Amino acid sequence: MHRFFSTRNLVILLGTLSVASAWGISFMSTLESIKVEVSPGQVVNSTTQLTLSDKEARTHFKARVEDWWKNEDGTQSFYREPGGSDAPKRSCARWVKLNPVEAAVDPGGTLQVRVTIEVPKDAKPGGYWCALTIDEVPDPLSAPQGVGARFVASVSTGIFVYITPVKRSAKIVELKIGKNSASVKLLNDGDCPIGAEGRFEFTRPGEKIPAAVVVIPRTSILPEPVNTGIINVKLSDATTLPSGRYLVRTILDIGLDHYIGAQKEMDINRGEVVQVKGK
Amino acid sequence: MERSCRSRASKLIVLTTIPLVLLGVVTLVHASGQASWRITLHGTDITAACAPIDRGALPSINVSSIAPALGLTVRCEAGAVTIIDTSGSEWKARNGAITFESGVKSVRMSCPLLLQGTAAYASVDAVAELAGLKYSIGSVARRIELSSKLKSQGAVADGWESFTLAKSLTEKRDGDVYSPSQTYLGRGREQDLKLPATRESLHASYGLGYVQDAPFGGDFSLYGKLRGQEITLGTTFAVKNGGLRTQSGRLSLYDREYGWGAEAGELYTEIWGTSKGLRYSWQGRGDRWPSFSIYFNGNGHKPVVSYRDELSLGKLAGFGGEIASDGSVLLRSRFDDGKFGLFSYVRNTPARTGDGSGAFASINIGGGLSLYSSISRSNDSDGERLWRSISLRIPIRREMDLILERSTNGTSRGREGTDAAMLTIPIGPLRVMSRYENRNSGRIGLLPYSGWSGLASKEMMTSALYNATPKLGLDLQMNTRWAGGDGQQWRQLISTYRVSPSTQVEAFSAFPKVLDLDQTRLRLTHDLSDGRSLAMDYGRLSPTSSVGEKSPRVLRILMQKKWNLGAPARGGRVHGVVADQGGRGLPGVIVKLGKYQALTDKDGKYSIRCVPSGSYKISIDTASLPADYAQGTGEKTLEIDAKSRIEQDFSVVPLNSIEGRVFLDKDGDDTCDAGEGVDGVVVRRGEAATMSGEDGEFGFYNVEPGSYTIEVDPERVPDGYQLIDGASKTTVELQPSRAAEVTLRIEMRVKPIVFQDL
Repeated sequence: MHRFFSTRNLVILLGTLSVASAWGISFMSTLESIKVEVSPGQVVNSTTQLTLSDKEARTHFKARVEDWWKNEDGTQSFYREPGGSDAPKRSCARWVKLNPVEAAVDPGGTLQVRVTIEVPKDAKPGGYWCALTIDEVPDPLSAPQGVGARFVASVSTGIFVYITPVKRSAKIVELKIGKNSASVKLLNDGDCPIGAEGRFEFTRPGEKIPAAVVVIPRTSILPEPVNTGIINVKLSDATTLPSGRYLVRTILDIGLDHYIGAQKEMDINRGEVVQVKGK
Repeated sequence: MERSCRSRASKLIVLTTIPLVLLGVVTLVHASGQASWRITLHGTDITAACAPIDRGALPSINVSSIAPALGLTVRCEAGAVTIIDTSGSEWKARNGAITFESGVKSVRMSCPLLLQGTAAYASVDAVAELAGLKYSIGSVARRIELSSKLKSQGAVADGWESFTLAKSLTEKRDGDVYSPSQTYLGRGREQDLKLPATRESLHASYGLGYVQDAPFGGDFSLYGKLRGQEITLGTTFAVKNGGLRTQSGRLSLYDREYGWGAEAGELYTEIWGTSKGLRYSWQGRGDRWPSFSIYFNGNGHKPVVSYRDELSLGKLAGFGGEIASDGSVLLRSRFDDGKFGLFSYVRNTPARTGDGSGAFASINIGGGLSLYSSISRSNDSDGERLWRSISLRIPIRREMDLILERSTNGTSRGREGTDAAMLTIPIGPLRVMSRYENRNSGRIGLLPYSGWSGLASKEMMTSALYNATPKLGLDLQMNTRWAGGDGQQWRQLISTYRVSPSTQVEAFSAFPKVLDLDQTRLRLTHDLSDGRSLAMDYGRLSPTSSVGEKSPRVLRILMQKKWNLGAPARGGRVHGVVADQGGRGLPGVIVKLGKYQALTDKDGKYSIRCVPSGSYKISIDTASLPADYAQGTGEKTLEIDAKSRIEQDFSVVPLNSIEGRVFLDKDGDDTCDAGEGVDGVVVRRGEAATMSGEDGEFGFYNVEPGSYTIEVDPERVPDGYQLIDGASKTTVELQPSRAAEVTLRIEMRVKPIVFQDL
């Protein structure tokens, strides 16, 4: 059952509470990602919960675990049944058990899913991950005949398992400053997923305080199968950041005890239209 | 005598010279250290002194001198330094300490902190960490470099220079990886569990006092809980004639759980006050604690046995008393409903002080207005005495009260009467309290306050408190008395200055001659480390002395120390194992016992010790069970006391799944081949239902072991299909250790052919 969804529909966040709105606003839910730091052979029990809006009708849900990865610019996420040949080697999907797998939730009710992660004794150190997906499916007892099990909405969150010691490392490999946008490309050369966030600073030569700061939103970058990630941001408007020469600094937090960054003094052309007032 | 003076003088010279010499040596060494290091902050050389260092140690920088450049705020006071970092966190360390403490974290110094006046020399590693910087030390050139920029990582494409930046302490603390939150379930989970306290608080303290020209004295006290028993021990002692003598003492033990208590030593009885004796109490019905006591009174009195009890009449009223073997009796009653209170007693001690009785009433009129009245009568060797008083408290405004008081004290020889008024007036930071008294005496008259004929006196007492600054407080006390036309007055100023959070100086001096040392007494109180405190008094004037009285100068030293011993707690124990039917223990399961929680170990065992007595519900937290287990043993109720040793095991049920496919046997081989699955078919397992998905797959998950019938729902067969007897329904035996697989076969509904007769 290979499927493909865009990230607009399925939300995977690294280490933050996710408020996921499924496509077609069929249901609203809160689903918290699970992060565990464990040793080989350890069994960890956790719960995650999904709350159905009180404006929705009684809804039938099915929970499952999938392999998950995404493309370089984060615009596409890939979900597969566990164990596929193209799945990440660092998938923990097969270590995860869920209860319940299928349940109905009343309006305003909560589906609490017990998640057990049984780490194999021979698991190697590093970060492992998979996706916990909860699908809205037709109620088998009330669905009209002929309706298959095609789900009508879905929400996913990440399960991240860290077997210590993990190697958390990333490098900035490319930076681009355009007319209206900037991007930074990160290479995850460690052995675990990282969450990267930070800022671009634009400082005029000779000044200490940046003229503009553009926030780089939190983005997860996996170590495989695609170990690079491009984060694009929109620049401040030309009033705040007009054309000119700047010391441009990129400062990123990747979860280490220090930030990583890169800087360059350069000319930025925003392409403003200069109005000349006549007498 | 001359030799003694010379000896003292030489000692004085030695004592003053040694610190001066040492100070000089330190200054010289220090000066050499200052010149020998160069400090660079963010690439710019800055001026900062360094302390001399031991061989191999890190240099210490005077953090006070470079604090603004580092973004730090430094305060040195009373042998300690406080550093406020860029995030606003306060870090404290005393002179000689090797860590800065913030209350929640500590920063270690590689060599002890050195304080010299306003200079605070801390090792470079600690300074760098507090400032959120990195440091490097060039030992050959004796150069320290502090910077947030660690090192260049080389060039990124297109001429970008990469770098790394150090994080501040706050950024590290709030970071994602280095401060695991509760979502990091693999660790820190035990910290969330609540277990009964295994230690109870038991406090001890001693005080040693020296008063010039008086014997040494002291006290020792112990209070708190020991194995569930409330213990109180208090004793005072003195060194007399070369030996240690106990002056007074009292030991009490109460075990409220088992309902008994015992006291020995100085016991208080309402019949005649304090006596040496023994007392045994036990818990009666309700809140009653009756007791038997035996008093050894000395002075020719025989030991007396007494019985004491009190009976409550609802929540508002009660009566009780004590009766002794020498005929002494005390009876008392109480009533208090919050607005009106009445307390009365009758005492008769024929073998001692005579008899007496009294009553006290209070009326809360409302709006803060209160009326108090009391009357008591006693009959002893001085004859009969009658004492009456009435007072009225009138609130004027917030923190401002007027109290009017009238009292008479009459004996067979005469009587005294006092009228008094007290006023409290807050004026900004100034708080003035004043009391005016008018005393009269004379013969007993028929009417109260009539026919005063004796001496009259008046007295005015005023206290003005002024907190000039948070550290400085002034209290001016004035007392003026007029009797027989003469007036006497004394004035005293109490000045309090808090030198540091742990040190306070008080001066009790005459007013306005505050600099007259002949009429001044000084007191120094200082809190030392480890719960010790020191109080020293030296001077002549006592707070209540009149100005003209010349008492000798006295030195008094009092040393106190307090400990928190932490005694073992008492309580029951509940233990057991959480295991499945095969005896396999489950780790990481939370067992709930009332408000307490315990986590099972790798073998599924748990233990909860020191459980306070009571009734508890015990169960396992199903949310903590592995997803493939269900609760077996349900909730139980346990009665636990201090001696309970209860084993309570819990069984859990392993769950498994029944998975299968619904298929259409297109090739007739009776097996489910690829492409033969049918989706959208409702499959039932009793009440439970699911729908087959792509390729006919379905599953019932987390099912307890047992026998189940799995069938295609006969009422929801998809259009165009029909059931097959014996193939659309099957029975499966689900084992705890293995998932079950089934197949359900359906077939296309075949339209019957209706043949027509031609």
